Amino acid sequence: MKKILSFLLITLIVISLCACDTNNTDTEKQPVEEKVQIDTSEKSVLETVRDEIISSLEIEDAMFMETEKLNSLYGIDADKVKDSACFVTMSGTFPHEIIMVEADTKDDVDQISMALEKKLGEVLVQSKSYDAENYRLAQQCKVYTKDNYAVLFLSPEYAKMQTILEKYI
Amino acid sequence: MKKSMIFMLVLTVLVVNLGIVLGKELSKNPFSDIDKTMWSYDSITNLYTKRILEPENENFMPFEYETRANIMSYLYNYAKSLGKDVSVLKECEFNDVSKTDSYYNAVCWAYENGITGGSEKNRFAPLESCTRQEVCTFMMRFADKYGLVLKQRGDETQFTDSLEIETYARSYVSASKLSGIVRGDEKGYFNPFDEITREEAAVMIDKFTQVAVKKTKNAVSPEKGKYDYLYDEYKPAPFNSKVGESKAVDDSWFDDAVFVGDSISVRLQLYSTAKDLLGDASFLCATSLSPENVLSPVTEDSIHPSIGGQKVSVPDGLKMSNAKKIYIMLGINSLRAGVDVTVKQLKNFIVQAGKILPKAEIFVQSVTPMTKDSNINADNLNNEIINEYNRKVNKMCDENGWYFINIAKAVSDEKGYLKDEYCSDNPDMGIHFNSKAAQVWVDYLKTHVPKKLKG
Repeated sequence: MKKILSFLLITLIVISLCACDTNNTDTEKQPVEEKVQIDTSEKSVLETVRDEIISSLEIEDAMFMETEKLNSLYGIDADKVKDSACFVTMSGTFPHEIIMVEADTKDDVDQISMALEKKLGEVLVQSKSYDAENYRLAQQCKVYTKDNYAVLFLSPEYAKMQTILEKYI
Repeated sequence: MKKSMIFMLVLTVLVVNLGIVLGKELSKNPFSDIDKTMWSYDSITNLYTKRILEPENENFMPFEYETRANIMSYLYNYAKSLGKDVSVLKECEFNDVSKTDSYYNAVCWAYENGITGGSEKNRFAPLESCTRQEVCTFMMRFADKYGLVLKQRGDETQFTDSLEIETYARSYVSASKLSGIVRGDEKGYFNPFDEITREEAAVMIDKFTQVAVKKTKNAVSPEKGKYDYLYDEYKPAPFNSKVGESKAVDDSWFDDAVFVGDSISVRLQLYSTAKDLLGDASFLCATSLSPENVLSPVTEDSIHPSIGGQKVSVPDGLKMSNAKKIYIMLGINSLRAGVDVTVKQLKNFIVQAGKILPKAEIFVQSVTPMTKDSNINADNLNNEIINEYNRKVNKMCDENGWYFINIAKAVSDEKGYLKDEYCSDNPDMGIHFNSKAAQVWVDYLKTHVPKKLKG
């Protein structure tokens, strides 16, 4: 009797444990408001965004730009940058320039954002007289800032890149 | 006690000697803006020691242009140092030189003794700069006046631009060359109309004082017209501007280079920046830049390159770069207006660039072709027009002593089209480079460096 009761008790426990494990394993869609949790032990947020942009959009000739190069190209002082993930490609009529920066402070992000606006303005002026289609595409590009992040996607794939970015930031 | 006294004695001797050495150095050089690292240091201090150069303040300003008045003052003081009578018999006739000017006596003496005839009627233009041929003329007239000859230290070979020297100055320049006072630049140019800097003038005058003598064997004569015969049948060797293949230089060769160009060159800028190529070269590139707009001022809507995020005019950018090599690729954005007008505009820009950076070498790169399927191929812009432009630009470079880098050759197929494999926007525009072409470009630049400049 004791043995039977023990067996029944153990069986009940096992069944109850199995019943707990009935989570919905359908994880294909994440709720929109949830941000992806990043394991930053190896890659930063921006590097993750960059790599996802490159792989999702099948960009073949991305050339990475180190933070120190940003001053000569865009007037972004490396001392104001906590992290960056930038690259350019040589495809199309206009080279694609992807500039993603995390600044140290709010003041720094404002200054970096201004530098990116200047760059965007430059591209608009130059494309206006050069090529109508590229001017149209350039007009869709915007400087994006959130918290200490400042980003500019100078690319015809601007919208797709923005979607990927907003998953993480 | 004894030891401390010996120590004090040794210390005193050292301090006194140091003071003597420093004192000698200071007395030899009264200027705070020249030092021993400068090539002109010895000449400047020699002239000061000989009292030919009299400082007006503690700055010599070696890179400023030398004035006509100062040249007269140097020669005047040199005459005094030779014990010559420098008194003047009558007042100066120039209406732009007054008795209160510090150079009044020097200018009057120079005019009275035939060393200068003035700038134009009744004017001397004392504060205007002096050209190289003018300084040679003044020195030789001085020597002729005082019965001096010059030691021979040079030869009778002509400068590449000898025929550009004004007729009145030719013999004097030749005498200056024969006596080793002038040698010309690395390409054999004398540049007769170049304005002379203060340090250059000091070196010339100092050399002059060293070679001017009463008599000597194989003397060079300063007489007017003595060497005119050297120009009678002289035909300068044509300058071949096209740079042939050479052994590759290191990326650091481009540290003092600036690249001026349009959207094609923007690719080079991005590629070389990302890949750490071409050393510390700077770039003044912008989409739509052309020979037509390259010198235009900066406005909100203007096409201009930027440096560190700031829009700059190309002339300002050149000044900021202080480059010793200027690489230029411009033309495709203006060619619809015509080949000849574009060549003319390009030449005008290069001449202006040469004035901003007079010591820089100019490298003009050929405009690169379109692909076979380019959608912008039209009657007024196609590869035939580009080729014609490149031929005329090459000829322009031959005539002006500028180097020509035929990059178009490196990226073209056997029919002269831009290779499809090198093009990033075929057939939309069919002119822009991808990464592969950019690397070909970098490699071409590194393997096409004039031998004379490699050292």
